[in-house]
Amino acid sequence: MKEDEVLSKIGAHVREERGEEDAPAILDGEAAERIASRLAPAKVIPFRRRVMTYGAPLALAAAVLLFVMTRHGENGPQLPGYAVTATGEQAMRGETAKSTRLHLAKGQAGRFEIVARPDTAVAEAKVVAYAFAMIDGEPTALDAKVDVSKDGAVRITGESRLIGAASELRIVVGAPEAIGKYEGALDRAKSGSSDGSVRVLSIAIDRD
Amino acid sequence: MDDKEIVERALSGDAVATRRLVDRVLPVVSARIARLLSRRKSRAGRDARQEVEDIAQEVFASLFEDGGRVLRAWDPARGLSLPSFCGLVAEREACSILRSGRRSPWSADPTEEADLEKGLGVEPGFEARVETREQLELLVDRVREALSPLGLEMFERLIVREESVESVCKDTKMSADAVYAWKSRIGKIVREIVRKENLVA
Repeated sequence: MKEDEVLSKIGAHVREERGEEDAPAILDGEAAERIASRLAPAKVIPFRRRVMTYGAPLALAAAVLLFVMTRHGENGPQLPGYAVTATGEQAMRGETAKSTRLHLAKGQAGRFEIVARPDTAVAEAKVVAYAFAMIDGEPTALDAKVDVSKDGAVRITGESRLIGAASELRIVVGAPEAIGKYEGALDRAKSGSSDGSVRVLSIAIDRD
Repeated sequence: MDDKEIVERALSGDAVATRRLVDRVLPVVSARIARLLSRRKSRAGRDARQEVEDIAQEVFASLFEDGGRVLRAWDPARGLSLPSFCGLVAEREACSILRSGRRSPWSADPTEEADLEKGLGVEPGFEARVETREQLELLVDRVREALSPLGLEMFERLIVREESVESVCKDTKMSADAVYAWKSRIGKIVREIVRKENLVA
């Protein structure tokens, strides 16, 4: 079969596939609302896989730091406490335990993962998250993928090298109306202060 | 609010526009994902509707990420509607997710032509073996994954709709040379995939 024939066959195949597109709507308005609500600005992307996927591994986490709600904010829904686990490249390969501190091997071009799970699902509240690397006390937007699940769990994954010289990562979690826009998240990260509607989670970084 | 304005507002963080955009393109996006899913066995215990929604969420995430790079690549002046464009993105993302279980980043530029040339320049002929439906589906999926947003549009026009180069030039305002280059590039991608997937006769 010559190239033109293959291309022609490909075109016919796609046209045939498309013939089924008049089917009734597969996803309803509620699904559209869920999808739209998770498309927050910046790099907040929802979990493709439900957070349940991560439930079992997280239950095995060796160390868990619990952020307990102590105060109530005036804006947005009240958030539960968050438990955080941080995983460096070695731990992601199953070689070391997960920790609340992120351990990065020097010079290693690996990946990291941070998961923050709410003590209870945030129910109907729309939650967004921003991740920052702290360098000399100043927050810088972290170049990493940020996922937020329907239940309010946050997962951040990225390349370790992009953390740069940061000594700490801070994750700002809360309802958009409580955090405000990016600048609001930046201010929160800098101050490090949490309240009932916005959580600032801190992950210290260790290096070899 | 027209589609272009919806896109601009949605990418600037306007929640109302974002919802309108999702409402506008979700029917096409979900239909194409569902069709691709139906070709494959759904993972055990997974609700098909939930699976469509999960992948649709990924599609929208890919449209919005990196400042909306992919969504900004849509240009109504080129003649493809917003739902059609997002449908192409949905097919590409769904293929990638279903094949590898993870998202694959968009190539920043239309395929690595240098690599293609390197692999193909010395081949004297091209004789593909694409006889079964499975082989064809595999080939179509790989082609989609290899193309950039503009490449997908060119694929749609030149291969799927079988539009003439003249017609594409007229609608897109691209030069004939540029359109011919795309046609050639898509052909090279197909040849490379045929070779890699061992579909050579």
